[in-house]
Amino acid sequence: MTQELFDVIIIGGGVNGCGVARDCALRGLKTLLIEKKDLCGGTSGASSGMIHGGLRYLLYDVKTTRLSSKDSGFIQKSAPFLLFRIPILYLMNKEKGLYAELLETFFEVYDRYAHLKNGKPHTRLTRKEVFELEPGLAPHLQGAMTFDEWGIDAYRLCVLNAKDAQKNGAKLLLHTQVTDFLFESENDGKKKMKGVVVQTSDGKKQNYLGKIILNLAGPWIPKLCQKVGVQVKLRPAKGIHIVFDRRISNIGFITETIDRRSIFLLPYQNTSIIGTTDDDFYGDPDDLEVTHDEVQYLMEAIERVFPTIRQYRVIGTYAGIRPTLYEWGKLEDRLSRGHKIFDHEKEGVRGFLTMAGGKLASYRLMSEELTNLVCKKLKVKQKCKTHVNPLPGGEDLISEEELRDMALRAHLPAYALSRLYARHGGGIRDILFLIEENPQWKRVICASEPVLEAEVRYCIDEEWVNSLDDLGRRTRLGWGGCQGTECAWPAAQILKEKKGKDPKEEVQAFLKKRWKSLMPYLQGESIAQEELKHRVWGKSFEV
Amino acid sequence: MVVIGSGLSGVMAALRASSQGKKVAIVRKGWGASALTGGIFEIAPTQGEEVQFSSILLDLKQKNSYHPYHHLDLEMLSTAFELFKKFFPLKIQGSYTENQVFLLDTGFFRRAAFAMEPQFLDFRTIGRKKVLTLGTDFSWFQESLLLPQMLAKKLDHPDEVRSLAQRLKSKSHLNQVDLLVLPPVLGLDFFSDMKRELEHLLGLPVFESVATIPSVPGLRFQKALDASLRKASIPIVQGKVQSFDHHQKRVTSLRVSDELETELNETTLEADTFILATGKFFSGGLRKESVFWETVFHLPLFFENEKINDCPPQKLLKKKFFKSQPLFQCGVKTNSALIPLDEFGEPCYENVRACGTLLQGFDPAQDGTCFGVQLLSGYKAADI
Amino acid sequence: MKILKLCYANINLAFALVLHFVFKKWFQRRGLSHFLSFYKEDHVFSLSAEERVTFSSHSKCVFCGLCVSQCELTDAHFYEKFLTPATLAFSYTKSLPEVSSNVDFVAHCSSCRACEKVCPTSVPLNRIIQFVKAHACPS
Repeated sequence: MTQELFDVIIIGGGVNGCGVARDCALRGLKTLLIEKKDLCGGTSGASSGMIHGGLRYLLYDVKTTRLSSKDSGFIQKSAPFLLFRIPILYLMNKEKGLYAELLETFFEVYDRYAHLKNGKPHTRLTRKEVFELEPGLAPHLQGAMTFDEWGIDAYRLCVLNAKDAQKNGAKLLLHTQVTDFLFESENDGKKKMKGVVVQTSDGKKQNYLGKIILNLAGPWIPKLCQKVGVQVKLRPAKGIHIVFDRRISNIGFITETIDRRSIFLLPYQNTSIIGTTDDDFYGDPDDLEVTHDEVQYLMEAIERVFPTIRQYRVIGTYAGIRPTLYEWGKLEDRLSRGHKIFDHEKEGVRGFLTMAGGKLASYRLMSEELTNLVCKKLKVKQKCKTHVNPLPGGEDLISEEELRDMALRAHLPAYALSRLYARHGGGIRDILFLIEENPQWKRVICASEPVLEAEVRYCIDEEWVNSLDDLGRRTRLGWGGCQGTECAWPAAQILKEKKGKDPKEEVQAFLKKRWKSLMPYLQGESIAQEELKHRVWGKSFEV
Repeated sequence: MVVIGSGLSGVMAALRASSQGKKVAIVRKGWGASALTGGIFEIAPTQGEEVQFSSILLDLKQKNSYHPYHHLDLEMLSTAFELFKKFFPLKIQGSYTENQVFLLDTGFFRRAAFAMEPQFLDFRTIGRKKVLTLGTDFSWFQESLLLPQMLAKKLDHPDEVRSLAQRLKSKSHLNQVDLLVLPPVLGLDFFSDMKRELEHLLGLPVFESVATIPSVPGLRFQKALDASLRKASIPIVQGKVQSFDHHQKRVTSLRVSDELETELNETTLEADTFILATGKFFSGGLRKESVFWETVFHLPLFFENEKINDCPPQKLLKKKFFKSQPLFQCGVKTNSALIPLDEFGEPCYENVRACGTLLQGFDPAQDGTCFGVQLLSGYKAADI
Repeated sequence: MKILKLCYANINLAFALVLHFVFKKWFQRRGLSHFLSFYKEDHVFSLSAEERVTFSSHSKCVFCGLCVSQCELTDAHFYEKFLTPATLAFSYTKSLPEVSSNVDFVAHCSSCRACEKVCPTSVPLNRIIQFVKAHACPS
């Protein structure tokens, strides 16, 4: 068994794992990232997809708002193509009165940080103006405050961070699980963790040695810690989202549920999502299910402000676990969204750090903090560059007009190219080059985005794609209205050509997953779509 | 008689009624699942041994007591099919007693009793013949990329077929091959002629694989169904049934209009009998929003004789997608005369008949009996 | 430490509240026109009340492809732009009609509605095309 020595071994390929891997690699540390399944497959993949400026911290921690807004600006600058602006209406039941003035003051204070994140100042809309903007809202609403935040595709964010890490020398092992840890005793009675034992997807065992090992496994943190013999207590909380087939509105809405929690209906890329719930979770993070009740809870709340919501087409639901820091006595919503780094030296294990808590928006800050600590321990004097360096694709910005020209010249649909740009930024030049050499790769595989064959091939080659699920995360293939009806099979054929995967198994697994995400709320055209799928693919794989 | 729905069972019912001298019209708001058939048709889910009708029923009685075959007489299958073939312009080949094995465009196989002409290649008879099958990524086929429907239209022209033959000759070792199987795109309206032309140019028998999606054979089939109606002089009324009048358990008339421009063209259709052949969810015969409902006459819907709106969601949806889903087996409950019944077993309307995939008790996609049910129920429904 | 932060935050807000009331008359009250100008480049357009009523029906497409064979305009030239009645309903109108490339397609559509006549899920294809025409960005 080969035993390579790394400076840092990161367990967990979510947004923190990828962020730390990038930071470490940029600072010249020899980095290894190990992920049990696929990048961004856990908590990060179930996020609301927003990099927000920390609006609610104005109530109790102003500095955090400023830092969050500033960091939102950094993330935006590192990959401007990846983010899309979401103008949001904070809906009000009363237009005048003390509450309205308090609320406006709150947004006025938030305006001070808008420039940090390239946001716009708030506006205050009268009832008439709100209905002019969105006639579908419920008649009892009296006005709204508006502000904006940035939306982001968390999967692409992880992949781009990972790509940058790899470009700077990091090694990535996906579909590889850490099964055990290696220790050596030290003179003072404490143990030093010197490495990990992993098992790859084909069953082989391998040892890797590292000077420092980071536990960034999110909801799986307590399990891993238990293996090591230390303890990190978390208060895991489950949250679900509902996805629609298109943008119901270009504006987001914030409203409240039956138990006074804040929820939203937001545009997300070319769909809309409703989110989210927050419930203590005691189950297995590998086995999550969205329940019918959770979906009804969210729909009922949105229905109050957008009465026709149930007429719109739901194409899926997804669930995730927040690895919230432990605290007894509070309601789930009120728990801190802060993060904490646990240095297990105090518990007798050197060289092992855990970071838990936090949110998607603060990933870069958290990564910087942890990497600073790692560098301190390893006596490396490099400074953080992740707030300055662009992510792959971000160094080459292309304007809308230029994109349209490129589409014309390449004989591609302009919309397909703009969606491609939103995922790859300047990296589309590589994909366009593939198309130049192989014009038949202009073929549209998935109509939902649309996703071209060239992008599918590029992602399989460059972005660690091993299954249709992985491909879905990279390109959103099969994630739109069709839910894989026409695209799963041709995509599986390409996967077979490049990676030797069995197309029958890939298609079956992919369609099973789509069905599972639809089951909690299946109605209207989504039933017609599933019936079509059942009819076409139900018996198409017999020998 | 008015038939609602122009899929296979609706057309069969209309043709039967017309051949009995009745004045028939067919109403439809669009095409449905029949227009997406892959080109093969199923009667019984057997593995290839000779099928005795009595043994199918026995098997079904044991496994599924709600299957429509309990109401239908399998002995009538050939009579119904012969009547259908009198009007249907395309060749459908096969057997009433055994299933053949057909190749899908995914490279897998499926058993069925009948197939349309280009798909009719029973792989049990291949023996030692060398078969060249060509895939569905059309880069070898053409320079620009067309959706299958557009490619099929293009290949309706002999020049294009000649050009295809040239490309095939230059790219494949056709001299070593006994049989050629192409993806199902060889022409849309003139596919019979184009197949013959290609066979002539290549000197080889040419067949097509069975389609998945999109389906050109499905388009050919539905267009042929429309042609059968024209041949039998059965008018097709384009529109959706918006409402209906009824009196003392009889439906008296339907109000039909173009769903999307309701101000124009509202027609009222009166008839002695109404036949419902509207299909399941895909074609819009059934729908669910907060509850399930049958979209024309609001007939109660059942799964295994239990009212579907009383079933808890877990009962209707199985976790494993590829298993037979109760949701896709639900439908209208009928008596032996195919009159829809309510939960008490009483007829909902005495002059309404239900046929086709609208019926409860079978999964048209999964249990291998779809064509048999459609033909026989359509034939029987017109028996007044 | 936490309490200090909390105090600071509350004082900050209280101060802002006072400023808000003091200068309220002279503060420029920003309303809808400002909102629209702020987010113009993000293509924030609103649906009319009539459009909002029927908008959910735009989602009915299950991409079965039956309409494609009926459309006179759908030929090789338009496939390069991936334009068919189905893709117009299913792909292109999901987000915003960033449809400068679709202008020629929709401009040539004669509203023959042959596509609608075969659609199994009654997608309002003609209405969607009119919607695109109404909201298309001029190329």
